[in-house]
Amino acid sequence: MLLIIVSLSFGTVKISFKETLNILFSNNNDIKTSHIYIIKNLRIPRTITAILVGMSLSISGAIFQAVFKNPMADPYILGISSGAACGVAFGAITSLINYIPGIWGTPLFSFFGALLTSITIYILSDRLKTGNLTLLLSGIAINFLLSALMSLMMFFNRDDLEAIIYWNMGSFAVGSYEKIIVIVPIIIICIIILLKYYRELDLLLLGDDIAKSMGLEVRKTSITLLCIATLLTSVAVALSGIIGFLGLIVPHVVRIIFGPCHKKLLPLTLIFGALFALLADTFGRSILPNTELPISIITALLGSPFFIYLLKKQKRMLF
Amino acid sequence: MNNIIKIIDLNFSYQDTQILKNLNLEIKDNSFTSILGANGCGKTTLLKNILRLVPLKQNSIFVGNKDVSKINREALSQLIAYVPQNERVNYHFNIRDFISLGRYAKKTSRAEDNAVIDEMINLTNLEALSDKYVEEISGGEYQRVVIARALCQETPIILLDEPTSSLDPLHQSEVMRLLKELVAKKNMSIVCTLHSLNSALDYCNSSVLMKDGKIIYQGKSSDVINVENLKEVYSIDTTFVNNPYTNKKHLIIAP
Repeated sequence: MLLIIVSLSFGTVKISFKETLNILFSNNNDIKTSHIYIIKNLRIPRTITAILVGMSLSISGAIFQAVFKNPMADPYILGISSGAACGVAFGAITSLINYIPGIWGTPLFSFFGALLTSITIYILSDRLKTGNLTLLLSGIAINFLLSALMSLMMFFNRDDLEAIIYWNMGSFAVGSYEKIIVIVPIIIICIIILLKYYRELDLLLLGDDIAKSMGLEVRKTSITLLCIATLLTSVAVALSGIIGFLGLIVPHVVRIIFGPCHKKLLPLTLIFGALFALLADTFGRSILPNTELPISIITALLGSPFFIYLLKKQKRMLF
Repeated sequence: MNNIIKIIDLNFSYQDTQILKNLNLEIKDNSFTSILGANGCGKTTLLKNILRLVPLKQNSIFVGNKDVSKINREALSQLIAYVPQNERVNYHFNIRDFISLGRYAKKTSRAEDNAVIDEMINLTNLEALSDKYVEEISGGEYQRVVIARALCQETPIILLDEPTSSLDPLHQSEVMRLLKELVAKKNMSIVCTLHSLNSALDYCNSSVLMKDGKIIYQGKSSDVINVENLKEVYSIDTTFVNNPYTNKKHLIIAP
């Protein structure tokens, strides 16, 4: 809560904590209209977006890591975020996105792009069965392929250049109530379903053969989990573009501190994911005067050294 | 005694290589059976077929009179538990939580689950370790933990793939003694692949000898494990002496 209020107060326009609290909880008589507008129409949606995206990408990362049994698996590294962004860029350039009513176009194209990438990676990992490294290299190759596709789309459609660059940079600034209202129910339903899968996720960590011998339908469960995590990733990308590191670092930090049991890991990943996204966004808005740093730069700058510190500190196997 | 596992004309190929050839096998209930044979003869593949961890044809494997190819995973997990070879995960799992994973397919209350978990921890002598974490325990202790996890499935059969292969002599005999006790105490059937022929003689009441994907001898351990059969299966020269501790046959292999 404190972080939310701090986050609302920071930004290019400085608004004091007291003023922020007054705007949020009491009458707004003595407060500048511009400040009320900034808090209510810009910063609250931005804060909600940061929380939702932080939760979605982090829990998706935890799911991808368990299903692929790979500590490096996350929506960004596997190319699923890029797939979502590619889907949106494709929809925008072909104008197909305009045929979908309301503001459903972006999430829908984002989902199809992400789903296509997820299916490709799952098939590759299933067919190749040559271990973690191959999966990772396949993901990196797919990521490069999608980046090349994005560049190609940018090259041939210079009018839409700005929109495509935005998807690659990622930002919480474009969160609006209109988008949030559409996306919140999807995120909540997905999270509730994923939280119910904690025992299955624990079993998946033991390996496919052991999980099967304990009665788990491994393929069906894995596909269900991947579809939900992909949907979460795609709505996060639809809200804020591509944001790296959250899905990779947050589940690992929680795992190092609290252990790999998904009953604890999943809810704590949600909380830490929201906090980390909010912290990164607040830093990005306040570290340089009159300038905002892209969120991906902050998540990498803040997250990587902390992650390396934790990796060095812990002695046991992460995964 | 009835047959708890019946295998009829089982064939299995992997990438154009036939690994199991017209294999027939019967495992009695309330028995402790070892599957013996040289490396690569198909022992692990046979276990994976029984557990349906590989694609399986119909009407070849029956467990408790049910065709394994026709029942779902959950139902199969109520019939057979599995302890794989050299399983070792080093996640920061609490031993008790780790053992409780064996209760996954059981639709029982938490109180009932806890009672079963406590019983299996007692049976496997893990009381002192139950608050530790899996990465903190030795190989022998880990093997007992995995057996306790399998026991939590409360199945009539447990299949173990070389349960003693990575253990020192003390822990080997500890695990084999535990398995023998389980057969008596829980009225269950245990089938394990083994390389130690003397362990099969000391602990298993029946043994199966495999060669090139076929079962060539099966019966009472002391009958099946003899000089001629071992020469045929392993191409080794052997002799037997009396084991003064057990008063049973003890194998000596010519250097």
